Amino acid sequence: MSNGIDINITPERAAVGAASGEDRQMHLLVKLLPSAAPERRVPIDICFVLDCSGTMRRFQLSPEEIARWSNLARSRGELRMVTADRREGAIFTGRTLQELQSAATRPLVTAARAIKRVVGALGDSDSASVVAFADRANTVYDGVRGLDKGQMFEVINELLTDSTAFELGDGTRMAQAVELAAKQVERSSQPGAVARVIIMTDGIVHDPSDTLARIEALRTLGAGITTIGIGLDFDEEYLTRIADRSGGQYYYAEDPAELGEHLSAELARLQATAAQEVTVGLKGERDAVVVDLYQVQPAIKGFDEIVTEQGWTRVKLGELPGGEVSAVLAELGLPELPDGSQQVATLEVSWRPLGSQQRKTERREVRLPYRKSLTPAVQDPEVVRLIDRVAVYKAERDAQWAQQDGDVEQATRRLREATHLLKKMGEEALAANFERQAEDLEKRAPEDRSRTKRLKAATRRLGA
Amino acid sequence: MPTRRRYRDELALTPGQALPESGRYRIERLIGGGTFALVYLATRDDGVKVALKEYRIPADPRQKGDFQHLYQQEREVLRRMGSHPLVPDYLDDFAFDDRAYLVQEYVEGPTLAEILERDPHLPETQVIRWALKLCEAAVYLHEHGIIHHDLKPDNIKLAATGDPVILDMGSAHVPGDRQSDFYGSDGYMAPEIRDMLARGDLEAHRRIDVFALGCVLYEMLLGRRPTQDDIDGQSGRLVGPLLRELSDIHPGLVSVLIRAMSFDRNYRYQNAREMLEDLRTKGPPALELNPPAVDFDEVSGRGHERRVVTLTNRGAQRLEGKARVRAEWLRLTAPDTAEEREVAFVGDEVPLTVIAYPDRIGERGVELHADLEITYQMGRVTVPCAIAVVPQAATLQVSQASLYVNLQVGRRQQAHLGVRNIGEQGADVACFVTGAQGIEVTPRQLHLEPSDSADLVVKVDAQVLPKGSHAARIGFRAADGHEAQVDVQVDVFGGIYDSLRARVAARGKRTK
Repeated sequence: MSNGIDINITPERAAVGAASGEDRQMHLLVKLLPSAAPERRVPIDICFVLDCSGTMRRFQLSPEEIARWSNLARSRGELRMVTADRREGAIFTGRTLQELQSAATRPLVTAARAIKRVVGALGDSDSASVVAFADRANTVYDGVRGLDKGQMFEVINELLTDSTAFELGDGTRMAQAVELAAKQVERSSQPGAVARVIIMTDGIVHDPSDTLARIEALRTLGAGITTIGIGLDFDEEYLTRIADRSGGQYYYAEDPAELGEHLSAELARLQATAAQEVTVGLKGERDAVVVDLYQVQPAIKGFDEIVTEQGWTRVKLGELPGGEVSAVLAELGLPELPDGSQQVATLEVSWRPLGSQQRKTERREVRLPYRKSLTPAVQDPEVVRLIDRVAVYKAERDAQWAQQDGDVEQATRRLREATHLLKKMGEEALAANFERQAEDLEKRAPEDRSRTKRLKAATRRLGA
Repeated sequence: MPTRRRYRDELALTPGQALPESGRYRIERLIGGGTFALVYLATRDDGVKVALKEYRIPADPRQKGDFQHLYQQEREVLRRMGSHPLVPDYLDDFAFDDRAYLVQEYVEGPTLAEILERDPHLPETQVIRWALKLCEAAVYLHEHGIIHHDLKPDNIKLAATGDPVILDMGSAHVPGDRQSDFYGSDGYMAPEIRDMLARGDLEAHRRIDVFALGCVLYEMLLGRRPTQDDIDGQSGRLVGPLLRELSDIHPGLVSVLIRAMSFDRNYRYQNAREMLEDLRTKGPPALELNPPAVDFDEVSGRGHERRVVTLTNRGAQRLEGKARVRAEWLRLTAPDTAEEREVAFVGDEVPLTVIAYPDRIGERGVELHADLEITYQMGRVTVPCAIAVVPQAATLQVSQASLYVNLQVGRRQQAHLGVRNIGEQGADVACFVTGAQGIEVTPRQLHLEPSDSADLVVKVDAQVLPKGSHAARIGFRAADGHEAQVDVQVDVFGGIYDSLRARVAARGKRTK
């Protein structure tokens, strides 16, 4: 069984100027590479929390297709108008419905198919359960004490029938579902297993505060929460917040067809787990200050929670897959120190190796060469590249907050700064999207929700 | 373990976090942040809400000493400040997790900046009231050897009392302090600061606060703040609009504003006391009416109703004027005046009694309105008064308070009583006897319209009543609850001498 994590520290600059007027800001890139391919993989306890609201059950059709099918259904007397999940919708019945089912799909059907595919790939030591929710929530499959895939697939198929889903209502009230997921996690806690709750939703949560409170409770059980936003009508800020807070991943599926790909990626990541409960700590030495830490690989995100204690700044990375680099970018404020190699920080990486209850901790001195006279400082291109990417991420965040505050000037300014950086990095396509976003804001044009969501997801993936 | 959560670009302590080691304070939420510190709302272990200021650890370690100096300076200022209703009380300080903390009283309410953002054009009475209170607070600080140095609407909160409270002593100094840095805010910094910055010699002075107070007053009156460029350039664009746009504003207020914002620091008020005294002398009074409207509710058509309206001066000078009512049914009194339609008043807190006479109103069941007109130095304001006179309920009046009957055993006797409805509504009336058998009143039920009266017969039957003295009561109860009663005494005698003795005894009782 593999236990090791390769730790690599790269400073932004090769040396620090000893003179007092020198720039004292320095970034450190901390790369962690857990040993690949463990002999026996970690058991996985997955709880799927599936949105079965009205819109998930509805056919995905373009406006032209809706018009065409509506006309046909109306001419046959097979059309009924209803309000579902606070939105107007048409219900087709009879022959039109049968024809439509063979021609179009519904997000719920696609999600169910994706879940079945992932569950099919689970091993004997894994467990899985399914919580379905809309206005109400229900644990529709409980596989905690033993996963019977055939039975689970039957339950999922049953969920696709309107009669079962209708019992849950039409809305998107998530709190009860998270509470049920927490119960599953609590019951499933196999020693050494990775617990993951995967939330799939296409709507704006109607009970956000209650849900967040229950997410906190779930998080304290040690479960990571991965969120997948489907379509255009969900709140990506909310879902990223949930994922970031718990050490889970956030995925965006503009088309429900992408769900399978995202779920597979998530499963692969979980199955490759080589180190659990990984934390990274950094302590400034000799007055050096740890200003902030960002995860930069596999995705860019600000750590939602940071623990400070006796000079240490610690962040949680959760589970790390073997053979894949995870990286943290640290921003340091450096003190004035004399010439020579000087210790400015101590790095601590702590984790639980697979199959072990004992934590391992490794500490490294971070030493930097201080030089009296600095010719233009040699910069590490990879670190600089990641600093720029974090700057884009921060600019996108700032723009979002400024937009929320109604400060269009600040929002467009930050979007343009991001555009400039992206062009410098050669990320022309994303730069163009940022530019269009800024232009739309200036013109007060209606928001292109698809672009906003793609832009956020792409910004986070800049680290990959 | 101190846990911090990301709130936008701040890493702030999470709600529920207890600190310091004793756990005396519990974080509720982040409420503000600046260059040097974050401010939290926290709850002390006795349940009191406090504002907890957390000094940041500077990103550049070379600034560590500066931050420590700022913290110590603010702590010194807070300790020196003492207690005043217009500044939050200083409560505590401590260190925790390598950071320094200051604890102050938490002031609930919006900042002046938030108020101005919602409504940039404040009424003049509000402006003068707040200007005076801000000057009073600044006088308190100045006279405790404190110069705030960052007076601006963001640092002023409107407390539940309606008065402004000055916050954030993070930039405060003592007079004559030489500083290496100056922490003020654009739009509120006196023009000489630029020159001092150029010379690298910043001297703390009270007139810097005076200029900032002038800028706050300017913003409250014009609905926009001056630009720092106009201030630094000593531009005529500052004073010009004052004269043009403030033509409707009290000239005393404009005159104080111009002097407070004078570019000539020697002409400017040298401290908040000078500004306050000038404002009190030249500024307008600001009348506050409490309550702003008088409602006499529904009253019946008799007697009178009183309500008190207090006229309070929240502004300068002294309130002086007249109060008048025109409606026939209203009268007024002020302290030391008789009841009149018009009374004069002088003072900064005048209780005015408004008296309504419903019997002077002919109509019933209709709401009537009239104004109490108050004319004072700043013009005329009215206090709307409303009344609805409802008909008085049926009220029963009986012809006599008591009834005496004297009869021989075995005989029957009748007496008479009258009952009258003196109310304004008709009612069914029940008549009944309590206390003795053999006494009967008829009729037992009757209906009386307003002013109607009825005669009743009281029958006493000494075949039922035994020999002796008997007390009883005849009651009348209107359907809406009003009651009246008559005490009855019956003496039943056996022979003529008994009768005479009983009469003499009864007479004696009545004359006692």
